Amino acid sequence: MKKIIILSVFFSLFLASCEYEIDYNGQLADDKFVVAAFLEEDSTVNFTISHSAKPGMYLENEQSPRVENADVNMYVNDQWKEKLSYNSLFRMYSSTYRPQHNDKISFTIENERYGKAEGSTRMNLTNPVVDSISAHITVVDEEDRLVLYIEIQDDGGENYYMLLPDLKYCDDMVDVSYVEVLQESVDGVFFEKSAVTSVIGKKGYNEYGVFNNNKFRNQKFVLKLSYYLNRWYDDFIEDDKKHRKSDDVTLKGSVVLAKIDKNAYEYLYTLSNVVHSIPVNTSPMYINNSVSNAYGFVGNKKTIKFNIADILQEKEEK
Amino acid sequence: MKRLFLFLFCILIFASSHAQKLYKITGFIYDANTKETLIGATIRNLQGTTGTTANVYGFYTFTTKSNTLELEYSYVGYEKKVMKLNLTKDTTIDVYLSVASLIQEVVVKDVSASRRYVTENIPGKMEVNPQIVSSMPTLMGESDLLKAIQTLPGVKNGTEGSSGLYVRGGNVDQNLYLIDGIEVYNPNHLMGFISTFNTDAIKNIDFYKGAFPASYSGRASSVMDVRTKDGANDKIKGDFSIGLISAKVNLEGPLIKDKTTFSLSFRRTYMDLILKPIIYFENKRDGDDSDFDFQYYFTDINAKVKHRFNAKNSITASFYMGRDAYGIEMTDDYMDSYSNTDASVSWGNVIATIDYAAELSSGFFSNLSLSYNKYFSKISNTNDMNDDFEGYNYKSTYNYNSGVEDITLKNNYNYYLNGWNTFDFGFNYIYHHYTPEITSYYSFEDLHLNTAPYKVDHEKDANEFRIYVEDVMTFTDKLSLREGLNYNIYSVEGKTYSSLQPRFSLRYSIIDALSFKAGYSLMNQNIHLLSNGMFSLPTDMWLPVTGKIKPITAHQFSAGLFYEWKYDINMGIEAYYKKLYNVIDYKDGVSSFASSTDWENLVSQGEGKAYGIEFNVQKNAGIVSGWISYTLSWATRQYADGTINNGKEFYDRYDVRNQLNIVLTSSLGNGWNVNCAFVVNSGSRTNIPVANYYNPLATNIDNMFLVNIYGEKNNLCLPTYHRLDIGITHSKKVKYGERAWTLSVYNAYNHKNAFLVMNSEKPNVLTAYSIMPIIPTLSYSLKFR
Repeated sequence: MKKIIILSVFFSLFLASCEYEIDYNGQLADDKFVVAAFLEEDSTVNFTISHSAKPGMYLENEQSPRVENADVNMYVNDQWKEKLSYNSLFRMYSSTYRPQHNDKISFTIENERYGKAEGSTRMNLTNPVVDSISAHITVVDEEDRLVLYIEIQDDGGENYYMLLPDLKYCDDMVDVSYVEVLQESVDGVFFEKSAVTSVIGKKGYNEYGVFNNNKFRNQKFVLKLSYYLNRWYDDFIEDDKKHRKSDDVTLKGSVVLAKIDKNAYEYLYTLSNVVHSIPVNTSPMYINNSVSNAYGFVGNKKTIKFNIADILQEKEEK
Repeated sequence: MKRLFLFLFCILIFASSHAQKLYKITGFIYDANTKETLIGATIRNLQGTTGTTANVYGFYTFTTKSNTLELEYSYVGYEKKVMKLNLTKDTTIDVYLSVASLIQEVVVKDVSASRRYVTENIPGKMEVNPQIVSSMPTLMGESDLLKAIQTLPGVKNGTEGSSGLYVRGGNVDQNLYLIDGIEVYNPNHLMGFISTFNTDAIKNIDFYKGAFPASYSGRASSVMDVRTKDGANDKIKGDFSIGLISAKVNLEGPLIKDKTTFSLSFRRTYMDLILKPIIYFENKRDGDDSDFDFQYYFTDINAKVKHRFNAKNSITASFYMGRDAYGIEMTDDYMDSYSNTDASVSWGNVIATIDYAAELSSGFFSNLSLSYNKYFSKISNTNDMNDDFEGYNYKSTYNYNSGVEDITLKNNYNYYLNGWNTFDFGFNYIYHHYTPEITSYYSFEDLHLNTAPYKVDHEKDANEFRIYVEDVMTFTDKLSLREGLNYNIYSVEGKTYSSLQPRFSLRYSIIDALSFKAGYSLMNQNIHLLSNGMFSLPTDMWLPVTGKIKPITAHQFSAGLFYEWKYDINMGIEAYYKKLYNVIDYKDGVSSFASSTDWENLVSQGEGKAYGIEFNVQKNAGIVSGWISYTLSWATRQYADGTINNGKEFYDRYDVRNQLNIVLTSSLGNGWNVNCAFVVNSGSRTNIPVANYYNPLATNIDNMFLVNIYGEKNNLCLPTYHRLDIGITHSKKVKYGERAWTLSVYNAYNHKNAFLVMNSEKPNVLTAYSIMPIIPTLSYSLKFR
């Protein structure tokens, strides 16, 4: 409600306001690489590399401004390993080498226009330990919710987790960014770093499902979440009714729990806060990057994937 | 410690060394017609350079060695009175001043203010003439005290049109607003566009930017001490006025002649009353099954009753209530389905005070007061939906309450020891009850509880005790000193903070018309306001210090030259330096929508620095009067924990480098008055992205959003702000009094002043938004007697 009032005030002022243009001659940032890479042991390394631009400078329809001519060199344990090749189908740079446990993976990304970016990550994560996981679907206010229950046994140390359903509903992607915390064995873990939560209940955005173990180090952490399942297609209400009454409705995909490194954690939670901030928020929202002379992150993860079909219990109507 | 005792010993020796025959003259100064006391009236010895002023109760003490003297009594808008005295003993003289003759126009004369400008030994004090405030051009027909204050040197306005004060680098929550000695937490109506001060009810306004007297504490940057009228003693009189959005009625007069007086002021917007029948008929005319209702209004009530037991004792009961209320209701009733949404927001202040004032003995004055003060903010939203055909029934209720309640006991004393020492001392006890947030939400579906009821209940109690002592010492005709101490103890949730706050100021008369003044003050603040920062909203929360969040401390040095020129013109130049500790702000990345839950982890405390130089030229009398002020200033912040701007120093949002204000009022004769206010200042600061990129983790077109990259905090100065307001008034005597028509034009040349800028889709071009176009207003007032 507080957000509604503030937004209403700004909305009213915008409606009543007069809009005009002014020139800006201040300092803007140079264009840089934007890097995103999530490394996993025994998997090829894939770099998504695009570029930033000064506000208003992206070309029209340039919605995915990938950089296709960068020199991306990978080093393993400070020894040059290979130059990554660009895959035009997936629009990313890929390696042949598959990182092993305890490898230190460093990289440089370079081209004439965006300069040189550097970063590194060490593949020293251990597998997350899950004592129990289950899920069921419930319907609240004619909306599907995925209720996920999980028990995580933390092994001590500084750990960062990412819990993210990767779901499809009848071949359509499901957005699970809005979530309600129904239960936490330790209060304030899941939304600790979230800047945008509702005052009514523990609901909010944790776009990438990241949290840290500061409050449950070396303990079991029980978490019960209710994901609002929004589908990515038009007329979903009609299809929703059609699908719900059909016998072969299935939610497909998996729930992924991963341990991630600090680079990834810092970037992802700040990115989530920026995504869900409103334009008239008067404080700037900063993103924690882990690549020098570039934006973005290079991190690594250790994942466990749970097939949704295996963990889904009988559907509940409420 | 030894040096302190030696210093105090010297003071006592000095005080006693002047132990020769002194004559003391005491009394009250009144309006000859209404018997209203005149706060700040000047008493001057025409045969020397000594003088004094009446205190907030209109009481004065003048001490002299000479038994023959000429005393001049003067006050704004009144004719001076000179009394030749031949004293044989201490004497009580009550003085009655008559209003200056009006020759078909209102001529503002404030000769006494000219004198005090030079002789007062507080460099940061400014007297604001209520008559000038009332005559200034208005926004929407509402004369506004805080907007007038914004035109003084060293004071910045915040968002366009708002009444927020940013004084010498301080924040909007660092200003202490007092009505008859009691604090007002939220002095705003209509999101800060109009203040709660009804100028028609005001008798006196003192505004302090620095070198604060020891009797004030609780805020770091400024004090505005407003005294309301006691009520006329001669006959019942009043006035009525109506403007674009509100109407006002003021009434005052005697209840018991020469004993008891009352004053009553009422203001209310009326647009909702006009809209109500229109909405009703519109709903009927539609003929459909949906109804809509909307309401917004604000109101102020000031009421005061004063009873004088005798010349030395009086008791006053005063009451203030201000409220904003907004409501919207939508109902849809069609066949088998029914839905109703009812949302309302209200906020305001309630203040009730009983004050007993007494002259205990010659030159020893006391007052004892007990008051209740409440700021409240409420939001509620109820949704009710049912559909018999679908078999659906849903109801939800949301309630939000926030506020502060204080109970205050104050006991203050003025003691005029002799002609060279005047002591002020006293104590205050305040019980605070804070309710930063009480939120509850529950919903029912099909008569079953839908979601788990949600309730946040944060309440805190605090006790505050203040004791102060201050001595005003007049060494010679040329040199006077004011030194004081305020000691404050604040206890909340098992944590106690104490602070010893020294205050010091001096005045040295270089020549009779030219003074050098300097001052130092340490102010402590035990409360913070969490707000969105742009507007005053009912969702703003007052929160006390905690074990983790420390009080704000402000050290301020100021010094300047003050000159009284001929033609009743004052000129002054003053420099200041202020250092703030434990200022508070949201950490980078934290939304200002956050609940008060865990608020201590959402904010950071750091340091602030502000310095500048202020020029002021003020004309207090004549056909044309007003002031021109210019300020050159800097204000920065730094949060060393790295959570804001990576720990680097940055310019504060209201670091407005240059500010020029011109306020003029002129009497043209034949009842015509013209006034204008011209404001031009550097733009305030805001944040603009310096780059952006598309989400590198996007998996489909729908989450391919742009991510903004920010550089230094407050990296952009908004364009220069400038605005001209003009007003024309025509007054005419009518059978029962005097009527006046006023045409006011806010932003007369319709300049678009940006209050918000955002990136546009074009390179190197920003989109700016302005909200205050030219706003003409016609208002009518009638004074009846």
